[in-house]
Amino acid sequence: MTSKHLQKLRGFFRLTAGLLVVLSVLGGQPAAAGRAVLIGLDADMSSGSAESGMAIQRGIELAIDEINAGGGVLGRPLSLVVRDHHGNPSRGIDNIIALAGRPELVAVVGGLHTPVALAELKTIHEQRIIYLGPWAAGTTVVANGYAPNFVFRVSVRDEFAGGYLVNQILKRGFERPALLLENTGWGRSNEKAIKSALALHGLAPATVQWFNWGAKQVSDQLQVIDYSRADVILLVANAPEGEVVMKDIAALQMDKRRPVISHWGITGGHFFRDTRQALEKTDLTFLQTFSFLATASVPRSATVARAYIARYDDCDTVEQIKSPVGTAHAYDLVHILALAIKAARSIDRDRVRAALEQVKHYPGLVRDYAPPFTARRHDALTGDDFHLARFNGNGIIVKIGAR
Amino acid sequence: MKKETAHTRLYLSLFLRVTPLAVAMFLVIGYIVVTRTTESALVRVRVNHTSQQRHAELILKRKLDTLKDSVKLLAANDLVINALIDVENRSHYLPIFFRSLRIPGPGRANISLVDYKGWPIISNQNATTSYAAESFWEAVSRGREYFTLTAERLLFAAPVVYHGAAEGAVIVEYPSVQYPLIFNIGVGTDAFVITGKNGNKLFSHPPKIKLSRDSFFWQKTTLEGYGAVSIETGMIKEYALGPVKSLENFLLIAICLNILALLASLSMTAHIVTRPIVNLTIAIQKITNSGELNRRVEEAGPRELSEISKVFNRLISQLQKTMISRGELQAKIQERTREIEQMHGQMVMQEKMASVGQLAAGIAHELNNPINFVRTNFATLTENFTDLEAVFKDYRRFAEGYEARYDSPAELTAVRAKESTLQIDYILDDIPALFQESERGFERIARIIQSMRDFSHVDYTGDLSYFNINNGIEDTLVIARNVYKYHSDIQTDLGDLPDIQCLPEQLNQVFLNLIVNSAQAIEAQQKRAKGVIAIRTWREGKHVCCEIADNGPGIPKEILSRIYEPFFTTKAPGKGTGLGLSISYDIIVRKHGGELSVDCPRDGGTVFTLRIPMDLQTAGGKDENRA
Repeated sequence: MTSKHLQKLRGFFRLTAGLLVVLSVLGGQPAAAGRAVLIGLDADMSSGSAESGMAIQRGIELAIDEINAGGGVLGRPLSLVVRDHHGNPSRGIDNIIALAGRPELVAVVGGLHTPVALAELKTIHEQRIIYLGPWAAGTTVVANGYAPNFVFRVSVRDEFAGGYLVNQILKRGFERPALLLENTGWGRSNEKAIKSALALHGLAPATVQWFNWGAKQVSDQLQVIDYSRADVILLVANAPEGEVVMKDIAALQMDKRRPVISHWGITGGHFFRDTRQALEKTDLTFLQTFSFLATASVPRSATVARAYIARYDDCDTVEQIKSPVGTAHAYDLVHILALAIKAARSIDRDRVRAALEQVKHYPGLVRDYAPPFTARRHDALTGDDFHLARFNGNGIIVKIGAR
Repeated sequence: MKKETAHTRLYLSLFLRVTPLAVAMFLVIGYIVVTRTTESALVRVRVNHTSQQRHAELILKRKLDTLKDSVKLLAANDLVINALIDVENRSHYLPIFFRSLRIPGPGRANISLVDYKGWPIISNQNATTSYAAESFWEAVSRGREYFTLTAERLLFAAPVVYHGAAEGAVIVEYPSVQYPLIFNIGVGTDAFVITGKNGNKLFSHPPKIKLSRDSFFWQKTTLEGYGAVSIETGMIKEYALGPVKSLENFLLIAICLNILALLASLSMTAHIVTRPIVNLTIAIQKITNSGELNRRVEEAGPRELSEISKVFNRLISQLQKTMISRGELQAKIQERTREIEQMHGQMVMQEKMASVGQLAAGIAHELNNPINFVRTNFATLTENFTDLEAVFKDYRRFAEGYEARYDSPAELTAVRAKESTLQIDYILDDIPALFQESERGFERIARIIQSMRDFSHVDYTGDLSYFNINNGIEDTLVIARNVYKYHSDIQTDLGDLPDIQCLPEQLNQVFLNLIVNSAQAIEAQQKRAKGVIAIRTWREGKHVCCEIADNGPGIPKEILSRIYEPFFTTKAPGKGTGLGLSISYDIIVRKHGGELSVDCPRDGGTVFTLRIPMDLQTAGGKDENRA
């Protein structure tokens, strides 16, 4: 049996396990625990960034496990309802509507895709449903103009990422970054952030190139980038398109292969698996916020990692935890949500939403949240929580500079 | 056989024999050609139709495939995929993109991009349609393509697939009003029908097929890859089989022309073959009918016929030769027959003559004694009368003297009266004349008896002797006198002739024959005036010639050649034997080596001329009778 088959088999067991949880909750047992409080997951569970959805789900599940093990919230267990949006905003919106229709559901954890999140904002606020962002980084996902704002995020904010990435390229001595962005709200979010960050240094992108979702090649864009005499490429892409980009770069002559500093979208899918050979020829570093490997010595991280390895058959070592940021962010978000529910003593979404702004402290995986959110600040992370990473030869995300 | 009718008849018989056969042959060939051609044309038509059908099918399939491919291409377009994700910003580029969209080919398609539930996102038309409620959407949302062709619309939906899932779909739809534009494919078929599920007609070209379905060959196939769609092409039978029809017409014309050509060639054949055949036949007939073996047929016409003519001519030549020798043979036979007959006649005649001669000789002998006795007595009587007259005259003178001197006695007077009454003077005067005449009569009787004795010459028959033919003529004239004396005068001009060695009695017979013939011919004229028989003799070299001419009616030309034939006669039965001239010819020509010729001058009459050699031996004449 190949590793692929094993993975599939594990995925199947995972789904079965998840379903059993959901069913047990819906089935109204255990009776003493009362009806479960539902947390929705609206993410890409099957498409190009399915790994991110899985990572998020696992983070939620690990957190729920812990919380339920501690008696749940308000005497009720937490339970997860998963809905797959494929990265497709239309599905996302429908998922939000569907999830919002369930009275026991208190919040929806979102997925990797900024465009989906952005498209869902209107519905989220119409339905007054708490949206917890563990990944999608678009600045305006949180800075959405809605009041009250139902969106809370433990993840990168592009605005910050832009500044961070610019700082990193400057630190590495690059001065003429080319922007290669996906043609979505996320791409535009980063364009804005990076341009602003560069402007702070009196710089501007050598060129800004766009590619569409589903693009099969970006050689034209790379050519323009080459002509622009850019010295580095700032890439904003998810795994499928990121793969195309890296393969096309690898296909260039060696002297034309620019180093790539990427946003983290590429880590949401089977990126490494499909680009292993291309990566050997290219210099790719990318943004990360958390690494189980890097925090292995931290007891909280180690505990979760152990729980992770124990719970999921496809993972035997810390290194094998995929898209760790998704898991970590989701894990932290669910714990924060639990705190908020407890504080609100209700699963009323408005009250929990308000309570989220009132959670004073939570020592999470990614950081100590003190407080995680405020009424004005719904982004829990800052640029200080970012680091660059790269894939090692086995596809394990390795924090740069970590021991 | 008349030439023209023969020709026509032969031609007709040729025509009647050849034409039905040829026409039947042509018809059979025509029938075979037409049926074979029709069959092969039908096969060709079927093959052609199949290829047309295939062609139409291919075109339609390609059209639909192109449509599908275009839509699929559009569905796979990364801008379209991106637009499904880039909800907030797609309005900046999607409308421009979609407005420019067109499906290749005629017709205007409604191209829509719908989301994963079939709700419209954008369309190239102003109005957008939701396909969410469509029954097919379920399949499309699960990533399946969907094609439908109904009486209302042609629709193809291609899911926009991202990472294995349909995140939306591109749907292209043609309303049925567009069908004439999109399906009116120039496939070169006479009729073209597209049917959908249950065989209901979706589109037909021409829209209303005017002719009945039976007027077409139809072929129907299901469009590969478009299960429910069938395409049917019709080929108008009349057009498809047009070439066969024109071939039939052509064949008909060809058969007519062939028959004409046949007639022409028959005419030519008749001209080339039948005419010579007819000519040959006519010539042969002529020769057969006339027996003119010296005639020859014309050796003309085609080689074979001229060969026939040649062979025939040779045959005729051979026949002629045979006929000539046969003629000779016949002539000999005839000659022999004639000889035999002549001999027979001669023998009869000789027998007769011998009898006559013996009789005549007997009569002459018997008469000779009494005649001599009477004649001698008569001479004595004459002398006695002279004596008596002298006495009587003395008595008279005495009487007269007595009377003059005496008165006549009454007795004297009575004697005188008696003398006067009895014309004794006249008697006395007449008696010497009577005696003289009687003397001449006696002479003549003597001569007749002599002639009879001469003529009969019974003892000398068949013996040669020297003889003057003038004597023979004179004798004959005496004997035949009784025959000619009432109707003819004899003119003789007998020249000075030598005696010739001959068979006198036979020559006499010739003269008798010829004179009797002439006399009878003259008599037969029944003229008042007497005819003339002129007999002339002369010497001519070593020949003596005799010509016996009469001014009778002459001999008709027709029988001129036959007059010497034995038993040929124009006389009434019993009147002539028909042997006269035959025997004469035999005597003159054969027995004396002479010539006997006959001439009939224009002014009438008949002239027989005999030419007899004076010396029979030197003349070389045959002398079989010489003992």
